[in-house]
Amino acid sequence: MFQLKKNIEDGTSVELYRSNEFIYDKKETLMMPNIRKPENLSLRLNVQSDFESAIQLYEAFKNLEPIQASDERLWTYLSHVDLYPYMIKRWNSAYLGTAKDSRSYIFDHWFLKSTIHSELLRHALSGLWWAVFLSVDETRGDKYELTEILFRQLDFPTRTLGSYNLGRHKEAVIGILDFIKENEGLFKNAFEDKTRYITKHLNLIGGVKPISYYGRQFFKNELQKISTNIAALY
Amino acid sequence: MRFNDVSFPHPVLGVGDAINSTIGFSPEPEILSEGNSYAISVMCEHNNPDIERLLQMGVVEYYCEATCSNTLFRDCFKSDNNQIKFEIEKKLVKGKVSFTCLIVAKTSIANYSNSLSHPDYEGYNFDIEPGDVLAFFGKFEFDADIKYEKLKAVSTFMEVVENKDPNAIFTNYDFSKSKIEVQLPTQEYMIFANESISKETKFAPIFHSSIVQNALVSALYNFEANKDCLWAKVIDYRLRNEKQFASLSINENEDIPEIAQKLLGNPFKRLISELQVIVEQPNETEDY
Repeated sequence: MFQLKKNIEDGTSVELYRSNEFIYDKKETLMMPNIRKPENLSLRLNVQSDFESAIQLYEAFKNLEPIQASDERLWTYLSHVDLYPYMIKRWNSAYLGTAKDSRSYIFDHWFLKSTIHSELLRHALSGLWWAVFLSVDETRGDKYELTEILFRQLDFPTRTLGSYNLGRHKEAVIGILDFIKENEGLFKNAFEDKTRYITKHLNLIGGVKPISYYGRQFFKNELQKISTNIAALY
Repeated sequence: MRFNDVSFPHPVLGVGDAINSTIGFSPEPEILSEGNSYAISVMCEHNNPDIERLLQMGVVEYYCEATCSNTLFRDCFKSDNNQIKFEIEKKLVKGKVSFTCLIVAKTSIANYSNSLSHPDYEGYNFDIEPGDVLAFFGKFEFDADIKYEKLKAVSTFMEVVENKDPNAIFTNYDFSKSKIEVQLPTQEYMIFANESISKETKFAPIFHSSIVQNALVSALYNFEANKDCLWAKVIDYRLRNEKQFASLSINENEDIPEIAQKLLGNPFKRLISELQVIVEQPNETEDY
């Protein structure tokens, strides 16, 4: 991986990403114990729907422990090998040769820059997995009901919630999504602005209150208090 | 959470001079690696009578928040007494794990004031809500990548690998990886990797005082540029926690050879002793 990154930096491996199959040295890969390769996962991912892809990816790897799901090597391997066919369709600018800067495009989508939570939520594959992990609610009839709201706009899990510490408290994520679900009328328009506003508001509260102390209802109550302000954004 | 003078609307013990009382950890928090989990024990101390009274009434509680950015781990642990004890499974955390210890309100407290608060708060009462912070003991952290139980093993911060460059003739050092890499040319590496050499305990002082000592001294001269690497964190932890390093500084170049020798347990002394043993060993073939 280290060598591959070096070769992308100096431009010698950029052409590899224009191929239908990624050529790599199998001797340079490691076995990860307790992780089984799902059959035909790439075919089950839908380049038109991040939500559907996220569910498929999460279901295929639902037994991953957090320590495994934050391993840069796992996501780099999947994006270059098992899920490469999906990657070149979903993030096709390097493949088509239309990226302004192919090297940074490849680094942005195929590699994790670090394993801090904001990067885990931004990566083309790990972001899908972690977004489901944070929003799946086993207490519901449809446990992915809230996940679907999270994926209404890709910026919401990746850049809005993902960039704040709040985004790693599952109860906060579920509280926010449940509030949106119960107040659909409020979020009919300006979804991006409104989700940014509520995330920022709750993050400010997190500056003086210990976020982990609170359950989902606290976050819903806090959002209810500012529902007039949310409605005013359009 | 940010803990400064302007963060909170009400006085918080341990934040600036908001309340005139002492607060902290005593002794320092203990983190033990036990099987599949880390056992954490925190003793919180303060001497504020008003907050103590609230604790006795059961309307506030001790609270420790644990977070790990690398695995999105976030959890909280509560206690009715000043010792907060809990375990974190190793599979949940990686790299830096951070802790914040507080006293928080369990229930609403109307008209809260503290008799030892700064004069700026005089005449003001505050309505406290559940979860609001009344005392801040401090923060601490540990690195879950560091094998604390094996800190003294050279293998925690260095490894000998093969230099895959077929043209390599000389040994190369790489300080940018998680461990200091000593990259031996292929031919030398094949010989070294033989268990009768690399695993032979009587050769350890020879390797430590040659290959390892050289690589370590070079690495320490490049410590600052690589301080985010795991090897540097392991060494930094030892430098900060072992008395033998108290008078030495990684920032002083003249201290580095001594730091390296102390990290390796005086390898030159061990080498000379081992050579003496080898010389004084009876040569069995001479008996025949």
